Amino acid sequence: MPGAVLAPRNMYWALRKWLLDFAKPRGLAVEFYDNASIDDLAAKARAVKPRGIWIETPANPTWEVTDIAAASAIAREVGAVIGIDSTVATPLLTPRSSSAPRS
Amino acid sequence: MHSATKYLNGHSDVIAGALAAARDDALWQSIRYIRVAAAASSGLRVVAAAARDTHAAPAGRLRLLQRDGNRAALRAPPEALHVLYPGLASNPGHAVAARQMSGGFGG
Repeated sequence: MPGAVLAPRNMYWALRKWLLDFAKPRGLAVEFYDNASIDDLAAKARAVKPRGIWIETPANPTWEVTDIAAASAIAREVGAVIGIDSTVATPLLTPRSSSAPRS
Repeated sequence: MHSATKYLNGHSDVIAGALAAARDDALWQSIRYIRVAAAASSGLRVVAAAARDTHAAPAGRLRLLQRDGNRAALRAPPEALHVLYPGLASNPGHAVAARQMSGGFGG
Protein backbone atom coordinates (compact mmCIF):
# COMPACT_ATOMS: atom_id res chain seq x y z
CA MET A 1 0.00 0.00 0.00
CA PRO A 2 1.53 3.30 -1.04
CA GLY A 3 -0.15 5.29 1.76
CA ALA A 4 -0.23 9.06 1.82
CA VAL A 5 2.22 11.86 1.35
CA LEU A 6 1.93 15.44 2.52
CA ALA A 7 3.41 18.09 0.25
CA PRO A 8 3.49 21.89 0.20
CA ARG A 9 0.82 23.77 -1.73
CA ASN A 10 3.48 25.94 -3.34
CA MET A 11 6.31 23.77 -4.54
CA TYR A 12 8.54 22.96 -7.49
CA TRP A 13 5.99 22.41 -10.27
CA ALA A 14 7.57 19.29 -11.73
CA LEU A 15 7.35 17.31 -8.49
CA ARG A 16 3.83 18.60 -7.85
CA LYS A 17 2.87 17.43 -11.35
CA TRP A 18 4.55 14.06 -10.77
CA LEU A 19 2.67 13.58 -7.51
CA LEU A 20 -0.69 14.47 -9.07
CA ASP A 21 -0.35 12.99 -12.55
CA PHE A 22 1.88 9.99 -11.94
CA ALA A 23 1.85 8.91 -8.30
CA LYS A 24 -1.78 9.64 -7.43
CA PRO A 25 -3.28 7.55 -10.26
CA ARG A 26 -1.05 4.72 -9.04
CA GLY A 27 -2.52 4.76 -5.56
CA LEU A 28 -0.55 7.32 -3.57
CA ALA A 29 -2.79 9.63 -1.56
CA VAL A 30 -1.52 13.19 -1.94
CA GLU A 31 -2.47 15.97 0.42
CA PHE A 32 -1.21 19.53 0.38
CA TYR A 33 -0.52 21.88 3.27
CA ASP A 34 -0.20 25.64 3.35
CA ASN A 35 3.55 26.12 3.44
CA ALA A 36 3.21 29.56 4.97
CA SER A 37 1.83 27.88 8.10
CA ILE A 38 3.61 25.31 10.28
CA ASP A 39 0.32 24.92 12.17
CA ASP A 40 -1.40 23.79 8.98
CA LEU A 41 1.39 21.29 8.37
CA ALA A 42 0.93 19.94 11.92
CA ALA A 43 -2.85 19.73 11.60
CA LYS A 44 -2.74 17.98 8.21
CA ALA A 45 -0.04 15.58 9.43
CA ARG A 46 -2.10 14.56 12.46
CA ALA A 47 -5.23 14.16 10.32
CA VAL A 48 -3.70 12.37 7.34
CA LYS A 49 -1.00 10.32 9.14
CA PRO A 50 1.19 10.37 6.02
CA ARG A 51 4.10 8.02 5.49
CA GLY A 52 6.06 10.87 4.01
CA ILE A 53 6.20 14.62 4.53
CA TRP A 54 7.86 16.73 1.87
CA ILE A 55 9.01 20.26 2.55
CA GLU A 56 10.75 22.74 0.31
CA THR A 57 12.46 25.74 1.86
CA PRO A 58 12.58 28.35 0.50
CA ALA A 59 9.84 27.08 -1.81
CA ASN A 60 10.08 27.69 -5.53
CA PRO A 61 8.58 29.95 -6.83
CA THR A 62 7.11 31.93 -3.93
CA TRP A 63 9.94 31.57 -1.40
CA GLU A 64 7.87 30.53 1.61
CA VAL A 65 10.19 29.43 4.40
CA THR A 66 9.48 26.27 6.41
CA ASP A 67 10.99 25.63 9.84
CA ILE A 68 12.99 22.42 9.28
CA ALA A 69 13.35 21.56 12.97
CA ALA A 70 9.65 22.10 13.65
CA ALA A 71 8.61 20.10 10.58
CA SER A 72 11.00 17.29 11.58
CA ALA A 73 9.43 17.19 15.04
CA ILE A 74 5.98 16.87 13.46
CA ALA A 75 7.23 14.07 11.20
CA ARG A 76 8.65 12.21 14.20
CA GLU A 77 5.39 12.67 16.08
CA VAL A 78 3.28 11.10 13.32
CA GLY A 79 5.90 8.52 12.31
CA ALA A 80 6.57 9.92 8.86
CA VAL A 81 9.76 10.15 6.87
CA ILE A 82 10.62 13.74 6.04
CA GLY A 83 12.28 14.90 2.85
CA ILE A 84 13.59 18.40 2.22
CA ASP A 85 14.05 20.03 -1.16
CA SER A 86 16.89 22.46 -0.58
CA THR A 87 17.38 23.50 -4.19
CA VAL A 88 16.99 27.20 -3.51
CA ALA A 89 19.11 27.27 -0.37
CA THR A 90 21.79 24.79 -1.46
CA PRO A 91 23.88 23.03 1.23
CA LEU A 92 25.85 26.25 1.58
CA LEU A 93 22.97 28.32 2.92
CA THR A 94 21.16 25.65 4.91
CA PRO A 95 23.73 23.43 6.61
CA ARG A 96 22.60 20.09 7.96
CA SER A 97 22.89 21.40 11.53
CA SER A 98 19.82 23.53 10.77
CA SER A 99 17.68 20.42 10.91
CA ALA A 100 18.83 19.40 14.38
CA PRO A 101 16.04 19.59 16.91
CA ARG A 102 16.16 22.67 19.10
CA SER A 103 15.92 22.20 22.83
CA MET B 1 17.74 16.81 -1.59
CA HIS B 2 19.90 19.19 -3.52
CA SER B 3 19.66 20.11 -7.16
CA ALA B 4 23.00 20.29 -8.90
CA THR B 5 21.14 21.50 -11.99
CA LYS B 6 20.50 24.94 -10.58
CA TYR B 7 22.67 27.06 -8.30
CA LEU B 8 25.34 24.43 -7.71
CA ASN B 9 25.96 24.27 -11.44
CA GLY B 10 25.25 27.77 -12.65
CA HIS B 11 26.22 27.12 -16.27
CA SER B 12 23.09 25.33 -17.55
CA ASP B 13 25.07 22.31 -18.68
CA VAL B 14 24.42 19.82 -15.87
CA ILE B 15 21.34 17.84 -14.95
CA ALA B 16 22.11 16.17 -11.65
CA GLY B 17 21.18 16.11 -8.02
CA ALA B 18 22.13 14.75 -4.66
CA LEU B 19 20.18 13.05 -1.93
CA ALA B 20 21.50 12.66 1.59
CA ALA B 21 19.88 10.83 4.50
CA ALA B 22 20.13 11.32 8.23
CA ARG B 23 20.37 7.59 8.88
CA ASP B 24 21.74 4.57 7.07
CA ASP B 25 18.63 2.45 7.53
CA ALA B 26 16.46 0.09 5.47
CA LEU B 27 14.73 2.98 3.69
CA TRP B 28 18.04 4.49 2.67
CA GLN B 29 19.30 1.13 1.45
CA SER B 30 16.14 0.70 -0.65
CA ILE B 31 16.68 4.17 -2.14
CA ARG B 32 20.30 3.26 -2.91
CA TYR B 33 19.15 0.02 -4.47
CA ILE B 34 16.68 1.84 -6.74
CA ARG B 35 19.40 4.24 -7.83
CA VAL B 36 21.76 1.40 -8.72
CA ALA B 37 19.16 -0.96 -10.20
CA ALA B 38 17.57 1.78 -12.31
CA ALA B 39 21.04 2.89 -13.42
CA ALA B 40 20.35 6.46 -12.32
CA SER B 41 23.99 7.38 -12.52
CA SER B 42 25.45 10.54 -13.97
CA GLY B 43 27.58 10.34 -17.07
CA LEU B 44 31.23 11.29 -17.05
CA ARG B 45 30.68 14.62 -18.80
CA VAL B 46 28.10 15.63 -16.24
CA VAL B 47 30.30 14.56 -13.34
CA ALA B 48 33.25 16.49 -14.77
CA ALA B 49 31.15 19.63 -15.24
CA ALA B 50 29.63 19.33 -11.77
CA ALA B 51 33.08 18.88 -10.24
CA ARG B 52 34.27 21.97 -12.11
CA ASP B 53 31.38 24.00 -10.69
CA THR B 54 31.45 22.78 -7.12
CA HIS B 55 35.22 23.19 -6.95
CA ALA B 56 35.08 26.60 -8.57
CA ALA B 57 33.71 28.29 -5.49
CA PRO B 58 29.93 28.02 -5.68
CA ALA B 59 29.99 30.13 -2.54
CA GLY B 60 31.23 33.06 -4.59
CA ARG B 61 28.55 32.55 -7.22
CA LEU B 62 25.90 32.31 -4.52
CA ARG B 63 27.17 35.47 -2.91
CA LEU B 64 26.71 37.29 -6.20
CA LEU B 65 23.22 35.90 -6.69
CA GLN B 66 22.41 36.84 -3.17
CA ARG B 67 23.70 40.36 -3.52
CA ASP B 68 21.53 40.72 -6.61
CA GLY B 69 18.57 39.16 -4.83
CA ASN B 70 18.93 41.53 -1.91
CA ARG B 71 19.34 44.54 -4.18
CA ALA B 72 16.35 43.58 -6.30
CA ALA B 73 14.21 43.09 -3.20
CA LEU B 74 15.27 46.34 -1.61
CA ARG B 75 14.94 48.35 -4.80
CA ALA B 76 11.58 47.02 -5.91
CA PRO B 77 9.81 49.72 -7.95
CA PRO B 78 6.67 51.28 -6.52
CA GLU B 79 4.64 49.42 -9.16
CA ALA B 80 5.61 46.12 -7.50
CA LEU B 81 2.58 44.76 -5.70
CA HIS B 82 4.51 42.30 -3.58
CA VAL B 83 8.12 41.31 -3.02
CA LEU B 84 8.63 37.65 -2.13
CA TYR B 85 12.03 37.45 -0.45
CA PRO B 86 12.76 36.00 3.00
CA GLY B 87 15.73 38.34 3.34
CA LEU B 88 13.34 41.23 3.90
CA ALA B 89 12.51 41.81 7.56
CA SER B 90 8.87 42.28 6.56
CA ASN B 91 8.67 38.81 4.99
CA PRO B 92 6.65 36.33 7.10
CA GLY B 93 9.40 33.73 6.76
CA HIS B 94 12.21 36.07 7.76
CA ALA B 95 12.67 34.98 11.40
CA VAL B 96 12.79 31.26 10.59
CA ALA B 97 15.05 31.85 7.59
CA ALA B 98 17.43 33.96 9.65
CA ARG B 99 17.67 31.16 12.21
CA GLN B 100 18.05 28.13 9.95
CA MET B 101 19.92 29.58 6.99
CA SER B 102 23.50 30.64 7.25
CA GLY B 103 25.21 33.27 5.19
CA GLY B 104 22.18 34.58 3.36
CA PHE B 105 18.71 34.01 2.02
CA GLY B 106 19.36 32.78 -1.51
CA GLY B 107 19.34 34.47 -4.87
